[in-house]
Amino acid sequence: MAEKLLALEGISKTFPGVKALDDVSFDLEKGEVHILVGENGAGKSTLMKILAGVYLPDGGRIVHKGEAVAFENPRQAQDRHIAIIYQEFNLMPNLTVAQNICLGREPLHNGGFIDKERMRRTARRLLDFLRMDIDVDQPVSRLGVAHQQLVEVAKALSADAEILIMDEPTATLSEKEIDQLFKTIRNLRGQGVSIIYISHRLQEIKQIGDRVTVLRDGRTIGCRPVEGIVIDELIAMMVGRTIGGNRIRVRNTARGEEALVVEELRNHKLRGVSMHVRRGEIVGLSGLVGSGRTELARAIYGIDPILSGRVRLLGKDMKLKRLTPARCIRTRMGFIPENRKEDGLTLSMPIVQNVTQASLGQLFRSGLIDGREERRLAAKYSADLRLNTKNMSMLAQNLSGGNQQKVVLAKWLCTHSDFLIFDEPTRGIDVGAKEEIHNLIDGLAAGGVGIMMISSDLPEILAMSDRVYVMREGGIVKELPGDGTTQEEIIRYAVGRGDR
Amino acid sequence: MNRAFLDRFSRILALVLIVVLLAATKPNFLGVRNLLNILNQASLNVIVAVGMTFTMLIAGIDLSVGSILALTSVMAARFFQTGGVSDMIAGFAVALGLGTFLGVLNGAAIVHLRVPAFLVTFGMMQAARGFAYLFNSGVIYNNFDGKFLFLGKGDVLGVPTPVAIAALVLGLFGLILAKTTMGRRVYMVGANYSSARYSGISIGRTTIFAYALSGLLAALAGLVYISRLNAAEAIIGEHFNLMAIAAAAIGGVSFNGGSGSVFGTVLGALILTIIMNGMNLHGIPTQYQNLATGAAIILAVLLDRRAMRAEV
Ligand SMILES: Nc1ncnc2c1ncn2[C@@H]1O[C@H](COP(=O)(O)OP(=O)(O)OP(=O)(O)O)[C@@H](O)[C@H]1O
Ligand SMILES: [Mg+2]
Repeated sequence: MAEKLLALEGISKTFPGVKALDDVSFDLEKGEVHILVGENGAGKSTLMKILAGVYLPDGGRIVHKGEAVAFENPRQAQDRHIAIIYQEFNLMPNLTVAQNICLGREPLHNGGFIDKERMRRTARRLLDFLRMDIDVDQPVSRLGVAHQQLVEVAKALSADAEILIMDEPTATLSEKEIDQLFKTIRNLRGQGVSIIYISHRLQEIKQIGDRVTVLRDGRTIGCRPVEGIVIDELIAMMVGRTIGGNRIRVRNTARGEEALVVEELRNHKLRGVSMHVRRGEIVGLSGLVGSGRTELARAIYGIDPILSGRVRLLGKDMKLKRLTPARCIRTRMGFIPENRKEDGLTLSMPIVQNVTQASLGQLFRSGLIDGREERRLAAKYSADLRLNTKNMSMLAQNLSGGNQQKVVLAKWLCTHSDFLIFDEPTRGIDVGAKEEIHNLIDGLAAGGVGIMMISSDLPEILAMSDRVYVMREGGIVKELPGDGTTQEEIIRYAVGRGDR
Repeated sequence: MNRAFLDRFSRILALVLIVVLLAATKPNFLGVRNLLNILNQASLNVIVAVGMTFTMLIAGIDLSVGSILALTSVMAARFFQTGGVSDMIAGFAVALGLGTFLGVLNGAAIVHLRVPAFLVTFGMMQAARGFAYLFNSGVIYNNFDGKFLFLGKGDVLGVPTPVAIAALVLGLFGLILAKTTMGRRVYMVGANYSSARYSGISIGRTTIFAYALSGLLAALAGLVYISRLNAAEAIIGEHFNLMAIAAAAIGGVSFNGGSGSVFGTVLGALILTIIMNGMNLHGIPTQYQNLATGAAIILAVLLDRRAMRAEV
């Protein structure tokens, strides 16, 4: 093997009240894919932000190509060809795809003006490399999260990276895009690019990894070659205990009342969708990114306008012209959106206010907030989800990605809804917590809550669902039973080759 | 938590610094009379700026407060000349009702026409001022009844009535903001519009509430103001817009919405008034006073920026 390209030695970092990293060491060789795993809040993103010049470490040193370096800002890391794709998106929503990809590195004409044509060509080339067919002139805000993620990848590639850091790049992608991304990663590695890759999807380790390092509570637990590694062993290293395997829940075939009935729903995206969810049932909604799963949820929840159709929610016919989230919540429905940073959380507010945000009217009927009661509730739901902080007045923006997701879930537990739509509920959640969330959803269903679960994680869909709807191009193309269905079958329908 | 504390602390520190400076240079500055005078001067701005704080918290702004103040007070003025109780009540109802209504119009236009708050309230500023001129066409109402003059010139146990009213407004709306679900919604809408929407918070209702309140408080300030002047005419109150915005900005209410409090705003109003009072005591001409106010606002906005960046 080649010489060490990069070594992080004895890195420590303390935030007010949290020791995020404690004497962590990590190294990277040229042309390898080094995977970094660990529970939510273990310190993975913090370590990478130190490498990318976002934070200065309190202790330890970084050695790059045999030279000790200290990055005081992201620019200095970029100058050494270290590029990072952050866990949370960093795109400018109003700029075009091409402008975002070339942001800060715009090609110039001789006169000093931006060479738009060259910029477009650069963007086009990078997107072609990723096999991504999108219009480079549209604003990024029009893209779904998966495409935004891929634009982030293209942006990082445009920097001629020698070291590429990817913090949970696949969390928002479905199988097809993941395949494409992995091809890209192998391709890059072939060209000598070194990649640090963070993921909670442990099956990915064997697909693309060369070595894997485990962090726990801000400490390095170990580094192993991927060859011959046993996933269960890895999990034990991550969580410090063993957890149950891919448990299959007891399917619910009892026929409860209908929680949701949708008939012939049409709007800009949906092409006559009919489906239903009973109370006590978990219904999986599968399909490729862009197939209309999230749009269906948004329409039912009164976010996107509906042109025609019928929505019956918990026994009540909803007036489509006057459908709003507030009305849905009053009818006891909840929707956990996929994009936590924008739609799920108020980042600048404390945990406690985020948890009660969707149930203010219900909790405090008099209109007066009982601060004590509010904190008690927040602490209770946070504890149910094993949020790794006791400090309820911590701002949501200071939580690790996975813990932010738990706060979003806590917010909706707090509403005690009778029908819930989860959009990618375990995105960015570690293995242990994922199992807890699955148990929690299972428990809600057992308690009579109707559940619709959108997920790109097929094993999750199959492990959890009583029934599965597969969507494609704005319509439901197939209903499958939860039992006896395979991933391949779902994918076949999702890509439109179901009947062969 | 920490940062909010520091921020509030930095404002109190600034206030203390200015006070110490003035006390050292002008011995009569710390006299009870001058201090009450300062509070009295600040009180009207406090009333208006509390309303402004609500609109700024939802990431908006209300440029129409000065004009609403003028229109509502000229429309109500003639009721205060007779001294009859029913006239008095009618006067208050007309002013406060109209002020609230104009605020609701502001809010409804912002929500339903999807026009930025800046433009909507700019339009209202022009329209309300125009109506005020149309309505009173050069007449100046004065010779108000003695009972009405109590509002602007009287005192309660030695405290000037305007100061007492401002304190009540501050207490009440501070409470609404900090302790009620409505106040929480105001913060949530300003801090993240989208997550508020997904959480079932009605953006429309919250917006209309904030602007209605701003209109109501502008009208209330107008009544106190004409009582103090013992005169009402269409031209009054133009400076209130910027003074209220300045008080909120200096007090740490973010132009991006979602952070700040009415207590910060009051500190801002006090800092503004004291700077001017001090300059008056020192005999510094008005142009320099404007310069100083401008500098204070810019400084505060820079502080706000720095705090925002530190968060990322
Ligand atoms: N700016 C900050 N201020 C305070 N605490 C922080 C800050 N950033 C991170 N932390 C804390 O540091 C710890 C490590 O966070 P980090 O984001 O590195 O975790 P992670 O391993 O990436 O987790 P996840 O898998 O959930 O993304 C967490 O406890 C987090 O709350
Ligand atoms: Mg992370």
